[in-house]
Amino acid sequence: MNERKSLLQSMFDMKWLEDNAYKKSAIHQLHPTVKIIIAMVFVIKVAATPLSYMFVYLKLLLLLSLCLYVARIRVTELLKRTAPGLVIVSFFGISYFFSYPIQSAFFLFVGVVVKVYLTISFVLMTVASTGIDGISNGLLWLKIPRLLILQLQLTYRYLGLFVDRVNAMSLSYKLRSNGNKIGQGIGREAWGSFVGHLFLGAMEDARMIQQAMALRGFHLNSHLQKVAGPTKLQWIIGMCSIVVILVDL
Amino acid sequence: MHMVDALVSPVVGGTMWAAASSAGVFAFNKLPKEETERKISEMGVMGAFVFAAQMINFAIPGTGASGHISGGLLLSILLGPTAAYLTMGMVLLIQALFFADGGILAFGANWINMGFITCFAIYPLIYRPLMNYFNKRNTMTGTKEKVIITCSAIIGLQFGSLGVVFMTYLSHTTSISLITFLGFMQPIHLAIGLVEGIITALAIAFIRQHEPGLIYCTYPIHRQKPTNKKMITFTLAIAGILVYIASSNPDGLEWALEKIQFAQASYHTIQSPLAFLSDYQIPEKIEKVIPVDTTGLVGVIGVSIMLAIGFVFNKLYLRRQNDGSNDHE
Repeated sequence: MNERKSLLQSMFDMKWLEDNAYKKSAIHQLHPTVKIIIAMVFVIKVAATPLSYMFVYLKLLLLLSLCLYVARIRVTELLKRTAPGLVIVSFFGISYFFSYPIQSAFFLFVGVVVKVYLTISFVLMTVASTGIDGISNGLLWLKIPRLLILQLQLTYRYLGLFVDRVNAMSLSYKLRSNGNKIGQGIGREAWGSFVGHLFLGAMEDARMIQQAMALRGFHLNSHLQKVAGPTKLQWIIGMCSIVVILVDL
Repeated sequence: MHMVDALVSPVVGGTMWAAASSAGVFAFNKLPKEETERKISEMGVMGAFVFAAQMINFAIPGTGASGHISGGLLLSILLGPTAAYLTMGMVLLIQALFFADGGILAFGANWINMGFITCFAIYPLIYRPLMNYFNKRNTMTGTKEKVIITCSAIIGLQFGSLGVVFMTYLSHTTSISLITFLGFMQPIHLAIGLVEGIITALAIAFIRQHEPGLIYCTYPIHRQKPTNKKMITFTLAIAGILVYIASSNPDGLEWALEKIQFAQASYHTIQSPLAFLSDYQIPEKIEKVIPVDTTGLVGVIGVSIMLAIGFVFNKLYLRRQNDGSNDHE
């Protein structure tokens, strides 16, 4: 139910995530597996907390802010990326005003917005401080099949290629229509041919990339090497983080 | 149609995770092992394609709004259901992790609503049986395929949105009543499903025309013939039956000629000796031999003569065309 983002926005998102993954901080150095487990626990904790438990949300907000500070990720950047989710969830939040007294409804509304912000932000922070390769290594260590991880990586890497092509095709469509169709979407006369052309053109690009990879010695089994697991210290840090997240004062 | 983490309770999210992952293990084991490398890279490309296709906004006619496709059915038709399910999972995972679209707790629920329903329910239970049905009778046409794809997309999206409503309701995260929520979600997804279905159908037709080898399970598409047995029978039936309710009054030209005292004279001197079914009547000599009413028979004879003439001309035209093409060679 989330709102679709613009093409350029998605490209900026990918660049932003990649840029952040190369920063150096204590959170960046934590093993990806530990970070994935902590993120899962955090999301489950937020989802399981009733909307009226404002102090728990406050504690989780403080934890998130601390993590963002340590990982040197700007809050404004995260807010921009969580905005579409917040808009959609506001619709659900408004429904409380029809069912509860105004004061309770207000707290519930704030609760659901904070809930969405916390879940989306923590996951984005985790991914931004890990990167696609780190996420892949973390999943590999969690015994997710190699083929699926490879597919995840390929899909992610091909995204730039496809987004670039969609952007070029959309721009040429708008220019050809002399500016009449800007902001209206693709007209029905081009529905089939637009998607069809996108598919065939991008398949051709992908084939060339695949052949180039094969020429450079790419092979499924040789691509993903066995990764080292978390150290004892990293496990201890992870366990402590989980305790802090789960225990309410 | 992506659900977010905050709207799913851990119990519902966890259950959906378990269900979606089990289906994922089943799909993974069903992948053809001998051509895994080619298939995996193809799935990667298709996943990115669906992700990009979801970003294209299509104008919905008459509404001023625009919508996008979710791509489950498109993937199933291009990759097959098992590979499509896994690809859809990877797309949803990337959207949840990198683009704040969906969520990791809601990942299972989204995978079920947007992947499982289309790939493991709609594709094998609606799309394939209907395609097989028409294919066995050699009556599959491009139009029928488009209608089947559109209907499949609409049903798939209706069940998907139904899943969203029930999962949100079971999670107790909204105070909207079930009926109100259903009333809001289902009609809007009917319109979106229609647009998705048409786009998918047109895209598949385009791909079939230009590179049919990229479609997972191809069906031979027959061209619609301009004339067929049903059409001829229908025409003869109209001529034989509707002639009984035809007006016996003269048509406009005859009426005008009668006024100038021309028709009677011309009928007796020119038309009557030449036409063997003059004034749509069987000649008196033959009519005496046949004991029944012959009004309908005249219509059938007339249509048959027209069909025969058309058939002969068509044959002559085709022969001439063939001769012309042979000369060029």
